[in-house]
Amino acid sequence: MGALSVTGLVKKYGDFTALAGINLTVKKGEFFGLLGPNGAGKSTLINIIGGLLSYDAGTATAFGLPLQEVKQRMNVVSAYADLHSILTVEQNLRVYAHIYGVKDREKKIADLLSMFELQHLKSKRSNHLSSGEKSRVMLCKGLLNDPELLLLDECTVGLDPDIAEKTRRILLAYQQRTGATILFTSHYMHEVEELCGRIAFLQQGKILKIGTASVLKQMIKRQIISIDFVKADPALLAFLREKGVIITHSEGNTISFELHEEDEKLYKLLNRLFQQGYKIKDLKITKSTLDDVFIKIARHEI
Amino acid sequence: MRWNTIKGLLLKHCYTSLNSLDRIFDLFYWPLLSLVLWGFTTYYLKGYLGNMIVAIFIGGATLFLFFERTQQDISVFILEDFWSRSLFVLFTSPVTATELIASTLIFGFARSIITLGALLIAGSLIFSFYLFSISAIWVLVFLFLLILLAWAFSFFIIGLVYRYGMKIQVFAWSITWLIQPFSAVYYPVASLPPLLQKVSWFIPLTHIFEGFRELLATGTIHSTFGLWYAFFVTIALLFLSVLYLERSLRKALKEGLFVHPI
Repeated sequence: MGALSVTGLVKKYGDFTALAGINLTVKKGEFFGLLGPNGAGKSTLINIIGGLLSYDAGTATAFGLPLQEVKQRMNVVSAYADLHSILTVEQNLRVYAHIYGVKDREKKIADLLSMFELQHLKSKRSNHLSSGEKSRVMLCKGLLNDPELLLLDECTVGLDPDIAEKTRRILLAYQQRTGATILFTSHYMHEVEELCGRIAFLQQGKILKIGTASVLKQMIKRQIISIDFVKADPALLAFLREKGVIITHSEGNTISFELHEEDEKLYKLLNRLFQQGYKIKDLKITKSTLDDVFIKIARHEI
Repeated sequence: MRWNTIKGLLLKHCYTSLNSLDRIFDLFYWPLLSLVLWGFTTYYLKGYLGNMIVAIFIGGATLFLFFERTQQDISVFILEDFWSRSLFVLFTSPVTATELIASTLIFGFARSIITLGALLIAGSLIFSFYLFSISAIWVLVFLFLLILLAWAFSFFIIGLVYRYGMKIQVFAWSITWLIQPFSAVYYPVASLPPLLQKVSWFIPLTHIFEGFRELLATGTIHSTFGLWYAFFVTIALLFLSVLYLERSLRKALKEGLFVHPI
């Protein structure tokens, strides 16, 4: 039994299909990433699991139970949501500590405020916080009830790199300490790669691929080769073109081109270059990244 | 319903009340201002029309302001979550719609009792009129009916808000004032044009205020038919408004109103 199980989930807004039959199982204790361009359906999926949206077809359960029955055991954090604006940080957290039935509330609130370095803001009203501060308060709210299932929708938006890095560490430590299941969306690919064991790529309400970051990167079997020659002349460029190389960038003595990862062309090409007397100062091979996969998917090139 | 959730929501309403000058003004300023205005006007008219006019207007104003406060408070506390864009956080938490409404009813009731207390004290001290001195039992009956009717109106307004969002929020403040001219609050139904009299008798509020004036004039209520009519119509309205609210909530969840409030 997965911590989260979604089968044939469909969500429509009139003629627009936001989710077109999503099937997904997230295992207990998994840090699972959802990636996809804007409008792919990530937030819709999170909003359905969080109980904000109803769905038109399919089933969605958490720990084998209907979602409504496990709300006490889960929590949702979104960069696009606000706490009650005229309540102070501490008042907001106290209200939700009651709602989630947290024991030893004041200590829990103090610990979380300290963990996210927010003690000095506890008496400040939520509508007077910066977006980064709001995101951190939301994360405090998200961890109030030690959720077994935590849904994080772009929760690091607005955080400076230092705080974002600390936040990632806190989330990882929390997940390792409690064995919680975390569903995570972000537009920062390095975060997803750093935190998530498995990742699902969504496009137009469908899951295109599920796998680890390295499996997903296999979707683009291309590498960028950058060669810094001792001297690159027009004859060299002509020679490369003659050999069928697609040059992506050429500046000074550096020439970059794309090659298929499984291709043996590079080995042969280098041999021919040496035979022609071209001398190489440096050679750099850049493998495809999650960003590349994301861009290709967003541009419908995969 | 879980008590810890209700307690959390009551705490939220309480903090909202204490942190917002608007909500404090709602509690005392507007009701007392209305009462004082009516009071001094009737004090002036007392010389021409006798003592009864003070009782009719101060008593009528107290009951109507109590009704208005009860209705508005519930609607406004639901709207607060729209204004602060906190619907996402609220509806992803374990709060159920029943718990949210229950907490709002409890808190709204407590606030309306505070307002009623302030109006009674002001009526006694400034105008020497104490509403309960007419007949404590009947006044309690009037208040009970007014609370039920205010709740029915509130459920309808909340249903509208969940269905159409903030663009119809003006109804939260205006609905009681909209029916006031036809509800014989300060004047008898007989004062209305014949067609409006027919409309007026359909409104439960009319029977409460007619009853109140009869009590003032005769010291008792001879026929309770009007009040029973008000009771049963109010119960029917309560049932219909709860039904409407439930449907609106389902529509809000379907259309994503809590994700993108409008």
